Amino acid sequence: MPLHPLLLALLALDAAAAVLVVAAAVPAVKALLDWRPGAADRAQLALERRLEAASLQGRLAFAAWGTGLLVWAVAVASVLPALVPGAMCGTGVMEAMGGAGGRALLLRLGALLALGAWHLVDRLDRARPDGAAAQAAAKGLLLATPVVLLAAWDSVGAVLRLDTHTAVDCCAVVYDATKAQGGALGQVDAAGWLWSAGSLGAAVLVLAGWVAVRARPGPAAAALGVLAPLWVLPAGGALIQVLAAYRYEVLAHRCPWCLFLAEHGRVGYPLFGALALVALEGGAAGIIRGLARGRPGLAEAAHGRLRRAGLAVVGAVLLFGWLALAPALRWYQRTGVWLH
Amino acid sequence: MSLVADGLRFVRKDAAGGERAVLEGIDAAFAPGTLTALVGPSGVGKSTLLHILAGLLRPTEGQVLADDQPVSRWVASHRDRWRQQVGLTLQHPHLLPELTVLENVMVPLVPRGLGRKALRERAHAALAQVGAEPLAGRSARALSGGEQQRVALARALVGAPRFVLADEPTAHQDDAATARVVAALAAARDQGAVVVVAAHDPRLVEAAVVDARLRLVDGRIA
Repeated sequence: MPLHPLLLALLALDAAAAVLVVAAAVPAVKALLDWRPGAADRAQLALERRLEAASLQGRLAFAAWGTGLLVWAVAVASVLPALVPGAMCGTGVMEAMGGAGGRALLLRLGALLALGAWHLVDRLDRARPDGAAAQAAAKGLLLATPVVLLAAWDSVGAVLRLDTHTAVDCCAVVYDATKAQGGALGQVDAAGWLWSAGSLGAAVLVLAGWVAVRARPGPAAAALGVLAPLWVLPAGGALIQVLAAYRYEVLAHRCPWCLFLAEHGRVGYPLFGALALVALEGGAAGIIRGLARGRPGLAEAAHGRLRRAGLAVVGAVLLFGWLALAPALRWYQRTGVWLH
Repeated sequence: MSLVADGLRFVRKDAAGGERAVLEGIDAAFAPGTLTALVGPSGVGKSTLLHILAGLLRPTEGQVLADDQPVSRWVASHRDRWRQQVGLTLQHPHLLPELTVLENVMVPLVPRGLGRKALRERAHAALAQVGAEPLAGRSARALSGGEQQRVALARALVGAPRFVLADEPTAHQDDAATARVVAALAAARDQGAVVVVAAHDPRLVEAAVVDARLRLVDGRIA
């Protein structure tokens, strides 16, 4: 492992997030076992104070984790390729981690979603003074804790395994080999990717617009909570399998990491950032729906948060659509033909 | 709009790790439009009780109810918002030394978004109420202890708070200034505020405007 400042920063952020989340989880366990909002005895008041501190610790952990994910993306996509022989983009860096990088990245994203879900419930809880969702927030934190710990552990393993001495393959070789191996996703053609991403994206846009306007935790919010995270899969597939080629201006290049390179305007950051936002905010709408149903006291806070979630999803889908489709449209305008 | 102490207990830890109960089993209700004096010798917990009522300290057991809401148990953001309804003076006036007297009194009104003219008018009126109007243009650091205390009371009253809590507000005042302070507290009471003062000073404790006296002995209500 090279002692690069970004990697050291990543390890420090992960360690901080892990420590904070464990510290916050201790009173969360107590809150699940012994939460008595009707009592004002010493144990209950002490627990309320500890939960308030746990909320702050969890928020700091969420911030550290989000920053760590950004550091990971910047390190893998833009900085470390220069240190790994043969690496042209983040694909080579992931390859130099011996396969552990992909799993670590997936776990990191999962941990971000889990912490994001907890953060949402915690914010709704703190929007009211009476701790109406304190136990739900405690449950969310306890669900997120093992994911964060596992992701942090896996990330450390991946970073330690990073080999900067052995040459790796170029991304074109890696993804051509993947394509040759086939698999279920390899069977989907360009039209299939575009149709699924387009139709589901349109549904998500309509639902998110509806949720933003109505801002009620009704069935539309529940549907958005399911469809928005689901849309990320065909949207990402359409981007990598079909639309990225127009940005690279080659017949076929299915590398997601090349989108982060300077020669492509580092467009991978807003593109994948928009997808993450859709998953987080769309999922948030579903969580709010579930949370607000049994807790009428949260209605006012849920109203404002749903509006924000709907607007964020609309904005992110439109941004993604524009950034992904614009090069294809420009290409067609210039040449009169599609690449696929 | 009442303020209720519901089974308050406050335990302080000493350097050796032991515990000492400063307040024990405090049950009291402070009604709107009344002025209550917390009385008793030094060290019986008057200031601690006032700090808990104001939300500066959190009780070890029990709760403070304002309008039937357990404000002492609220998370910090909600407690801070509630405290905007509280006018508080402590034994130490805690004026901002870089500001003038008038500016110090204007500070609590700034978040309310009032215009500069309205801010100044209300601050002048509050200073006049405690007989500190002639000090308006002076630097806060140039005031005597008694003057600082009156300015602090003006700052506490300027926002017409629903709850006025004052810790020894007449401790450093001469008789004339004490009369002004007592009159200002009585005016707040007459406007419907819950007024609670912690006091040794017989000029305040035995004043006719005091509606109730709550005697504390060793952290308990006697």
